[in-house]
Amino acid sequence: MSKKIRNFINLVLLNYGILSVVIGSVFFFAYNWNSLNKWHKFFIANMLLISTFIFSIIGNIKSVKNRILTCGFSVLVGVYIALIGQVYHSGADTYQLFLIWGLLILPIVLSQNITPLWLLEITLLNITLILYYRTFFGFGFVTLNFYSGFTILAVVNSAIMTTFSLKSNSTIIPKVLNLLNNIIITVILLSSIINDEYYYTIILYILWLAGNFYLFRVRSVELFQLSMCLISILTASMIISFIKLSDNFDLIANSLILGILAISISSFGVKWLKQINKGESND
Amino acid sequence: MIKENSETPWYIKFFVGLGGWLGALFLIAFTTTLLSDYLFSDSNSFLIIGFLLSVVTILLSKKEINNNFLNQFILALFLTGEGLVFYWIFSEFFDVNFRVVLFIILIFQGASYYFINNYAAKFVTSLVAILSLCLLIGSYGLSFTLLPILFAVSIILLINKINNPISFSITILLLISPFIKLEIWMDIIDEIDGSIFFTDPVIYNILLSGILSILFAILLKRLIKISLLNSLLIAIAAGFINYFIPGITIAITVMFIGFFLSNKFLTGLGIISSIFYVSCYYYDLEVSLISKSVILIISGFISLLSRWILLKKGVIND
Repeated sequence: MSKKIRNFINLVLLNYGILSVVIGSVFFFAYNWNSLNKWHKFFIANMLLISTFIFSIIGNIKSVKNRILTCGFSVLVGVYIALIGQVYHSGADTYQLFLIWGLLILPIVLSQNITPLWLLEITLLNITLILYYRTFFGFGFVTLNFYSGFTILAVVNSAIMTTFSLKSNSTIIPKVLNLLNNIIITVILLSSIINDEYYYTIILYILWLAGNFYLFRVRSVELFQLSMCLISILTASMIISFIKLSDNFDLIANSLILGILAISISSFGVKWLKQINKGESND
Repeated sequence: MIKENSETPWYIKFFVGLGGWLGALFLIAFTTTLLSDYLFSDSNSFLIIGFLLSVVTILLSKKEINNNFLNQFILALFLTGEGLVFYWIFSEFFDVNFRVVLFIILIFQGASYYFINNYAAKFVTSLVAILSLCLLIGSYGLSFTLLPILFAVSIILLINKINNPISFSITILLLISPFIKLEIWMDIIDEIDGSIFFTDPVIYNILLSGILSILFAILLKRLIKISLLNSLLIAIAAGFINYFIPGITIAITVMFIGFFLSNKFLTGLGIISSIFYVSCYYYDLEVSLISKSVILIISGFISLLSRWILLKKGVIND
């Protein structure tokens, strides 16, 4: 049995075991939650937090077991903040929970520098921004609408993705972030065209595509990222054409045009991807 | 036609498929509207056009065409032909007997799979054929045998590195099967032809978990070459967990096979499915929170205990 498979089995059993025990324990306390007084609740939360922290620093801090425990500790920090909010009825806005959570675990994320923790931090940042926007509909004196709110989110995610693409060896974080941005930018583009408003989203979309082209074609080659861009182009083109053609209701002509369009875009896309793939293989 | 070999990354295959399927969808709309509005009002014309499209595209798929547009166009035409033939089968036989519909689709898809020379097209035809086969077997009250049989076939195909569309379509079907309850499909057919089906959920779950355990043991023995006793112990644990959290053993097995074959798509699919099945279990309102809690804690400890035993025996290293 190869070393690779041994490590894989070790990881699966360890991850599944720790996750099931932690989630099972959370369910157990949730079942009895109402019958516990606030001291019991804090005792349990403190014990969980402290024991996870102690076990995560015992032994080799870089080992798989310690890293999984560090991730567990980072999640429990959020649970602890939520408990404080629930017991003391702090009246804080919801976004503050995620903001404080993200800030508190930031030193751990920076020092450990592991992908799951970075993904947690990025998720918390996204949730904080969305909840802040939903609470105040703007930042300070600047009022934001649906389009500008999600544009800011996309810009923030793009900045983080670019940093990771240029500075880090991680390939998962740029992929996850770009997939998220792909959905956000395509949705706001389609929404602006369907509702006939805020056409600046077209420029944003083109800029995003140009950025992707530079990062994943010119600077280095990432076929996955380029494929996701092409899927976005195909989806957006089909939906926009469908809407625009629906004004002139001729089912036969519209179906033929849309069918040919889908085949054209995908065939040109595949040709391009295969050329790049071939070029890379030859290099 | 495009020869998508196993070396082509899955996202390029997905993009090829998406373009072809979208194209086919609109071409089906175009052909059916044209046929019914202007050319023929008889439903047999759908069969003739559909069959002709299938035959022509199958013949074209045998040739090496280096034009991407033509390749995609042929794929879309093939799927359009299939769609038109399905339309005819349903319109002619649906009221007569649903089993006949399933049987004809199975034969037609089997033949298409054999003749067409394209990965995306083979994937669609095998998926439809296997789905028809499942419903057909299920309609005779044998639904409890389906998942284990499919699971066994999928494992045999995948661990022998037969990286073909059949094994992928079975795997996809297996992964979604606990979500799309087989009993619901059976009930739909039940209403159509009035048959009685075997759908006792407790016996079904026990049988399924038991057979899955045996298959998982065989897989472990073959895959990681541990002793039969160790693999049986792990497999029984997996079957036990599967009884309470349906689908989890299938997801973990797909993850293992994906890792064994160095196939990131299957590994990712297995990981996402296992998270999905655990989430489904969390939202299952028929199970009380305390039962969920106890099951999760026990299964977690079983997993950690298995790891500890394997560590002690030196099978794995920390």
